[in-house]
Amino acid sequence: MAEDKRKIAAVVVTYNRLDKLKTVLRCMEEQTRLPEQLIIVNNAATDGTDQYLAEYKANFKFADKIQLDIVTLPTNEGGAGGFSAGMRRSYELGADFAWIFDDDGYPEPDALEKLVDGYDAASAKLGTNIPFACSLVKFIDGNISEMNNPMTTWDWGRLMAQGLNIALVSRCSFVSVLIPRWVMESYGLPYKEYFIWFDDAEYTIRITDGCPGIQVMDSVVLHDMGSNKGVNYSMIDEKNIWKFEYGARNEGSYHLHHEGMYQYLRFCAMVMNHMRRGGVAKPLQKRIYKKLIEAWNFNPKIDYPQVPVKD
Amino acid sequence: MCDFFRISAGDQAKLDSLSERLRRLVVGSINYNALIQPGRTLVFRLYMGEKWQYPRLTDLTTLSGLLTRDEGLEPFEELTVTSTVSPLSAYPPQYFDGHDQIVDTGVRYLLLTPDDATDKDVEQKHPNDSAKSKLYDILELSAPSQFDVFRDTKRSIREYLSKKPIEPWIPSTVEKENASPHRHHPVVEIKPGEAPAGSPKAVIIAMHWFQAGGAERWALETVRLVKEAGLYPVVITDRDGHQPWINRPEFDDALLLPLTAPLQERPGDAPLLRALFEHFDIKGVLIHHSQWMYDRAWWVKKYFPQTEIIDSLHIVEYFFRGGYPHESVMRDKWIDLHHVISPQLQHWMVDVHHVNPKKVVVAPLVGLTADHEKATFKTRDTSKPLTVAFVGRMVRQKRPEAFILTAHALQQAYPGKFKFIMQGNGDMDIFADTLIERYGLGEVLEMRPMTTPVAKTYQDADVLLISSINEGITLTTIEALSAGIPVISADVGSQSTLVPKQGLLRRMTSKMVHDAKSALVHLANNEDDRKQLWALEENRLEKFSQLEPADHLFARTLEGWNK
Repeated sequence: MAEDKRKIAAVVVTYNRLDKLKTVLRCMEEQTRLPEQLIIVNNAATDGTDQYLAEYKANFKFADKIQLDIVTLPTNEGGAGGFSAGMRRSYELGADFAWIFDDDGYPEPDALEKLVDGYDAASAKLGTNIPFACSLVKFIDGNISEMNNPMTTWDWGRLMAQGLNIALVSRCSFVSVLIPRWVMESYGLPYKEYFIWFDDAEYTIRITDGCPGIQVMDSVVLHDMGSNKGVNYSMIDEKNIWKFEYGARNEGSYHLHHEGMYQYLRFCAMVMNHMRRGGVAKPLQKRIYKKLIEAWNFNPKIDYPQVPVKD
Repeated sequence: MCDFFRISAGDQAKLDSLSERLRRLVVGSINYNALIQPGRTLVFRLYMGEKWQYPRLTDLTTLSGLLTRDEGLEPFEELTVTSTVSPLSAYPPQYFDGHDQIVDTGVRYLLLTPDDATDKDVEQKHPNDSAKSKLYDILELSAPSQFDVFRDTKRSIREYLSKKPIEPWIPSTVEKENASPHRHHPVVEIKPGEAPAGSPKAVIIAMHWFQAGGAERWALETVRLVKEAGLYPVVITDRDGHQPWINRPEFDDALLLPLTAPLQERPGDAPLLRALFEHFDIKGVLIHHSQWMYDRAWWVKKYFPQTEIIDSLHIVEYFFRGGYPHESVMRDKWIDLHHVISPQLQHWMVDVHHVNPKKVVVAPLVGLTADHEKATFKTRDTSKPLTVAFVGRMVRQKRPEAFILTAHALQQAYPGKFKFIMQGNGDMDIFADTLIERYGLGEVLEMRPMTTPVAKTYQDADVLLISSINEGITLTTIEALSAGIPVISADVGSQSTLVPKQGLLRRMTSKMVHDAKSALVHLANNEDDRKQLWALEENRLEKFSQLEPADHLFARTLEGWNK
């Protein structure tokens, strides 16, 4: 069998979750198929992550096998900004794939190996255009992670019918996603301006323009969230509204500027209904409406990794 | 023969069971894909199309199956082939067509056509039946001479336009493409690797198509010369056709790449050329009416400036402000030498368009089809009718109606004093038959198909009449003189190089018929003048042949490339 010369860069974005990050890095080191590069994006964490990473780098046990690169952002740019920066770095380092996840995603030891095998097996059946492969995301108790279920295509079982434990999907969240270099080059990076929420959905919709992505069921990642719940706009409260504000602006912007006024209005109506049904406080509803209006003038441009960042 | 793929014995047997034409078309497609998709295993499904279609071998429909699978056709053969190419630079298999990603499922759907398919089959299936075209045909058929007044005005306007300054072509570089606001994504430059020392020395011969034609005859000769010089010929064609010449023996032991557009390409890159330059030590590129190669000459010069590029030009067209010579002038910056076959073309390039005279070389194609060195005048029995011949394709450029009208005029004025032979076929066959029938020329005008040996026609003829609306220097003029018969010709292109004033006819049909009639009557009645006309023309041909002939020039150049 020919030697696999492809370079995979694992990209971990972290912010103030040092304990979880340590688990992530341990999981990374236990992979049966080690990534050739490990890029850790420190999103200006304030919990001592920077010191830990400096030590980690100094004592890195896999220095002969894995190229370790730590990207420290000057400010917290959210998950979107972190993934954008990490994927850009992977491209600059010459990676053939970026394997991306957050600091609370724990890949099982064979997660990457299965993901790559699945990608290759699917490519042999579907061709060279598969834009991403994602893992099956479970909650730490072993159940499915409610908020990380990819959206399947109408013919999701096509590869299953051919004996592969792989589903065709049109979008997924950024918890263990393998993204080829050509996708970054052709479709750019996630919108860093989104900061948080809907960056993963928008990006995976964008890159499935020509061919669906795949979910490799044998590749498993545990998502260590606080509680295993899906999210919708009926759940808004004082504590979490900041995330929903980003979500409303980002998704509103996407529908309006990429799909048109009808889809935007449909989205607004859906948000309104959810908030009403959930009994969300009026002042909070008002804040969300303001964000939906803000979406009119919020339409970021795509960054491409082959185009250097302007200072 | 150089192939770039691995195939099982079973699939090889399937390939070998095809006719030679089909086999070469399929192998051409496989090699193309193997070169630009190094290391990949692809499945080739072969479909037999209709005679009215053209083969689809390398274009985007071969990836989508649009003209084959989607049309409900069933493949008659399937081959699994693995590229054995070791690339020296990156060949990402993902391509875009504008803003759309080209989906590549690893299957290539090739549409082939029967071996006896012709252009006529295609034209009959897709007649141009617009109102404008119908009106044109009606006028051409009902009043050919009068209609030519209008057409000649158009020719004069086009001639004028062809003399206007030509702007240099702007290549599709990465920088240019990335400056465009309409790009799907910024393009990344891919620099080609350099073929390792000791790689086979090769020459790219970019042709129009594998089909009969004056430029193609010369291209074929250059393939022979390349082989003779010890270099490997890589023959690329870019024009749709049934490619009947692909199985000619001259192409044995050559890499044949019959391209059908649009290809999988990315701006600023030329994957096929990149792959060829990484495998071969390409010494030079010869362009014979190949737009594809003209458009990529800049790429060759950017990365391989030492590779020489020579183009051969035959005729200044009325259309497209000069046709290929126009394309050549636009890309003069990247072409080392323009080989032209006539002084008229040299004048057009140098005096009209100010191409560096050192870069323009007239090298005639004498000797390509006839040996005039031992030519002697062919006498005739003056008691018999004077036989006037037309030799050429039955197409608008050759203006068969002007020949028929001349025959009609002579037959009316001097019944029984002249005979006529028309040899050739083309899309105006029916048109010519209609006119012949209308003018009742069946008794005096003999039609001969292209398959008749042309030497027989020259043997039976006393004068060759060239009625074309445009030419360079016709090979038929050289053939006729070599066969011992004089030529009278419309004063077009560079015909005046060989034909003296008394043999030249004004271009417009009515005037040409008038001039041809009086010239032919004179020649019929003055055998000495017929002989003198031939002698004058032979003398001009002799002088013209003093110029280094094209085959010598190219043999010498190719020898230099192999050092």
